[in-house]
Amino acid sequence: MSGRSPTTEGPLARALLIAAALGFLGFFLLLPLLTVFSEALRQGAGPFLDALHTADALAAIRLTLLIAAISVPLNVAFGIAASWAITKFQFPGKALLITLIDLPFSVSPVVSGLIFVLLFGANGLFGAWLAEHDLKIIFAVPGIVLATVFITFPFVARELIPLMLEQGKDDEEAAISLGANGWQTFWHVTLPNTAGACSMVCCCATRAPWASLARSRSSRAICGARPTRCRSISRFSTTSTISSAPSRSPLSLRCSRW
Amino acid sequence: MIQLRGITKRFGDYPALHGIDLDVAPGEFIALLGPSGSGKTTLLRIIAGLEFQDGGSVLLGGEDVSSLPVARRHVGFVFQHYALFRHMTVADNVAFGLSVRRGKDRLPKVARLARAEELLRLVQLEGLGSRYPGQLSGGQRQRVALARALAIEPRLLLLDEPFGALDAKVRKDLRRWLRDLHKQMGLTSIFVTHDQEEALELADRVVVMNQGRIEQIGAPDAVYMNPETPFVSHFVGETNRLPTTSGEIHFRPHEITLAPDGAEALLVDNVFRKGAVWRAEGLLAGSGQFVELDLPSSGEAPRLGETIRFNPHRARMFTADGAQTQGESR
Repeated sequence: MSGRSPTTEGPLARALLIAAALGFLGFFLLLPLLTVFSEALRQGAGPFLDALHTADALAAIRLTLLIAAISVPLNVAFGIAASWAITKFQFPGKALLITLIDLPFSVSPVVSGLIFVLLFGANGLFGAWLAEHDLKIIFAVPGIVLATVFITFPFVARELIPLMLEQGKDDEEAAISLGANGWQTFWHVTLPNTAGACSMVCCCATRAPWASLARSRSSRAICGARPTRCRSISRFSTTSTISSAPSRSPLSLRCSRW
Repeated sequence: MIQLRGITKRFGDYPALHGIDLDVAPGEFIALLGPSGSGKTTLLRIIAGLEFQDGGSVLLGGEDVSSLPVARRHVGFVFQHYALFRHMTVADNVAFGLSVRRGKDRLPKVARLARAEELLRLVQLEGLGSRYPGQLSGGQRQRVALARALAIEPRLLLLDEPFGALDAKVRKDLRRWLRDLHKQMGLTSIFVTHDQEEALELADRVVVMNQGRIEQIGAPDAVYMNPETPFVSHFVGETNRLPTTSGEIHFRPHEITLAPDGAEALLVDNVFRKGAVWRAEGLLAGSGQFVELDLPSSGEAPRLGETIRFNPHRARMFTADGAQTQGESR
């Protein structure tokens, strides 16, 4: 006896729902993606690969990898620390900390870019001091790292907090009752319990610098001679605000046109 | 030997414990019995060091451990939901307490695993050391948790609702098994439960708790037969209450004698078989009080609408302020 389960809809309703979901995905996700690739490969694979080898493209990719290599470990460390503190301990100001962690998600990327400009820009809070000591933060690698860390910070904590809350404190309490110290408990119990989520979070956090790479016009290299399309699929973000400047770094060279 | 002296604890504005005093002799098996919110789990966690009391002190073997953290109290703690480390094998779980030791107490890995295997044999799980907790049944997991707690050679074993997450049959088997294990090892143990049957079956002494206070401490038989407060009377076992002008008379459903000229008359409105007896429920003529009676099942089942006349042959009288005026009456 198979028969349909009493909690599923009829075949027509199912087909309609699936079609609606697939249609939406196709139109908003698949179609743009296909367009990007077809435009990039319009003149065949040769010019596309050549474009990847241009100095601009290579510099952009190198920069992105560097940013990811710096910002992902930082965010994973901060994120795990924050979620550990929030889920396993009671302290005053916990609600405030949770709100603060979510802040980068709710603030517009342009505004957060502006914050860094106001802090470290030529007329910013630390601008004069930085200029005096010949330190460059804004429109340079440290600025991009700062901005990336800022916008990707919530990824790790947001992923880990619900998981750690669900797991509760029993495992940690069991570990300390067996004589483990704080570090052993964290290393042998808490971290492995969240390992799956952690690796996923690393992917999320790595994604962000790549996304900014695409946004900050390096896609021009990929899109060849079609900057208008580039413009339409990219937008200003923290990273582009902070890295766009009339200086001579390869990245900002492209950004300067915005 | 455990001595608790005037333990108090508040959670914010909520008073969880009001001055608990309790002495536990070496080798005793103690049940902390009470409804949820009675403070029994809080008390257990304070003894373990997983929670710190606001006032009073905890003495283990004469040593004041009040400010010692759990890691340095050498107590075994078993959690309701096992709290096994799911990414470690059963053997690694059991050996965890040994592998986190540092310095001269640290055993070589071979010795740790041998000890784990020995403990798994004790809890009748030999050969399952290489499995993961997810591959075990609930009853097996709880036995792994117990083996893990025993691995550190605790001076005291604490169990928080150890059978709470298991189904009825497994619970009963594990209960008997735990009682035998306790007899065999003689390790001082305290367990928390809200199940009076469990407490009466396992414990040498039962500590009945209510609203952050100890209501009564005694052997299971004494707690059941001679409850000292109205709370204990109705929480441990079933109790009928008859209001009187000066307080309440409590008697168990079986503490009655049928008599054609009995002082009380029950109008039966429900009858069912409850194990070896008939259970008749209904309202008393006159007072309208709801009463349950156990009648020998050798006789015929009471009929609905029938009136049963009886006298409580053993009852306790509590005055309105909760004091007991008479141990036994009638």
